[in-house]
Amino acid sequence: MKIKHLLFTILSSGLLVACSNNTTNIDDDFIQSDSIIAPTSIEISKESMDDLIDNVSSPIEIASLLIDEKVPFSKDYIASTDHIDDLVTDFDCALNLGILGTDLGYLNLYEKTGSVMSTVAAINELASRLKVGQFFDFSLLKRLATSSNNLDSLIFTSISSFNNMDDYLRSNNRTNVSALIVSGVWLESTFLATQVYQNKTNKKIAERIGEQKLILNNLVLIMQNYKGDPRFEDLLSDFDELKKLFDKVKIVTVESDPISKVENGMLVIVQTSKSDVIITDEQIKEIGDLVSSLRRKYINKNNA
Amino acid sequence: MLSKILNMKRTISIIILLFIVKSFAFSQCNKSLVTSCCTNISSDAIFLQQYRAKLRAAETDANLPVARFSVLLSKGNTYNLNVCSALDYEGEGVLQLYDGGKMIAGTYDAGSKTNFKGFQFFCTKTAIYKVYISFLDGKRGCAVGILSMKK
Repeated sequence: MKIKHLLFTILSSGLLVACSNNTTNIDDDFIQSDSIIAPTSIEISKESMDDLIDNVSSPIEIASLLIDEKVPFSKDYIASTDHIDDLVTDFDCALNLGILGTDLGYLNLYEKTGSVMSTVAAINELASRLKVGQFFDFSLLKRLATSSNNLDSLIFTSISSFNNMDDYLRSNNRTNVSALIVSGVWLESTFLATQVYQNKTNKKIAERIGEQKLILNNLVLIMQNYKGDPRFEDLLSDFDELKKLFDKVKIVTVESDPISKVENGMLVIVQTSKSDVIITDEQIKEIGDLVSSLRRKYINKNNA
Repeated sequence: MLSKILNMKRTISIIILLFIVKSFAFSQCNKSLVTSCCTNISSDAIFLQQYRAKLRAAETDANLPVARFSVLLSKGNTYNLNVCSALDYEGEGVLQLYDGGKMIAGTYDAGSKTNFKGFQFFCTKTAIYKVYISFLDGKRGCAVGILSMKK
């Protein structure tokens, strides 16, 4: 009798543990990482794709640079959200989600919380169409945007929503959607920087534009992985045209060892390697014009 | 009859307790770890990215498990990289920053045998870097790395 009792306890516990494992939210789990990368023969491996997508810098960094260089805010740089209803395919929704993600970062950092809501609403709509709407808590974002004391929380919530959505897409074999979103982010960030430069030349902004070459090279590799799809081929063709312009930009690096020190109990590493970008005003104008044209093409689907 | 009821009650209590303990133990290694680690971001920094790693114990000393991530860092920016480890795993997270094949920064200082919670990195070269997360002594661990940028 006691043995039956013990068996019953063990079996029931095992059942409960198994059930609790099955109900864990997939987006709440940490993916088990490993240092062994799975080999592939033809296509880019998932790990390499993850690497390439990770290499697109956050749109926050461009916006932060503009603020540091005292560039005034302009709503002319923000994509209109009037066209959202025209976007019906996953391809168009994902690309525009990336574009609006950059705009959200720009609006947040410039503290234009009053203008944030239409962008947030459009992001929410596009995310829902892509079946990743669960990562954007619209009511929370609205609450944070309408309160002037919650800017840090708004920025954090916006960024982590995009990061969590991106993790989910890549974990669920939807890396192609993730790739399109980062392409949209990059396109809009480059548009922002080139438009600002054309209104006010600035060495740091010029360098940042030139550095986009590093990201574009990766985006081209990513798009090549989806060459079988005509829409991706079209985007790849556009990126190849841009790449021809960026190939004229030179990035020179000088390597040197970093210096590390402890300041106020914190470990501080000061890098001494350098990178310099050689880019001309004419090159920036050519890049800006083409980026602007591509942006119009992918935003205004019915007017392309 | 009474003893049977009492035994059944005890059995059910054990099952419930096991369920609660299991849920609590594993609840650390998830989104809540990211959220709690982000509280370490200083008020003058902006959150950029999170890196999550859950690794098995090393089978040999020569083959320590490592989680690798890529990141583009831009010159002129000061970045903070912090690491937080889940308390219910034995491993203590170590975060390193690589430029090409060369480690340029890490939380673990071999000289003083100190594992810092993070470091600040003043970037002078725009490039694609690698963030590595591993665990001290190759122990089984769960950790999150947080990248933020000084405003």
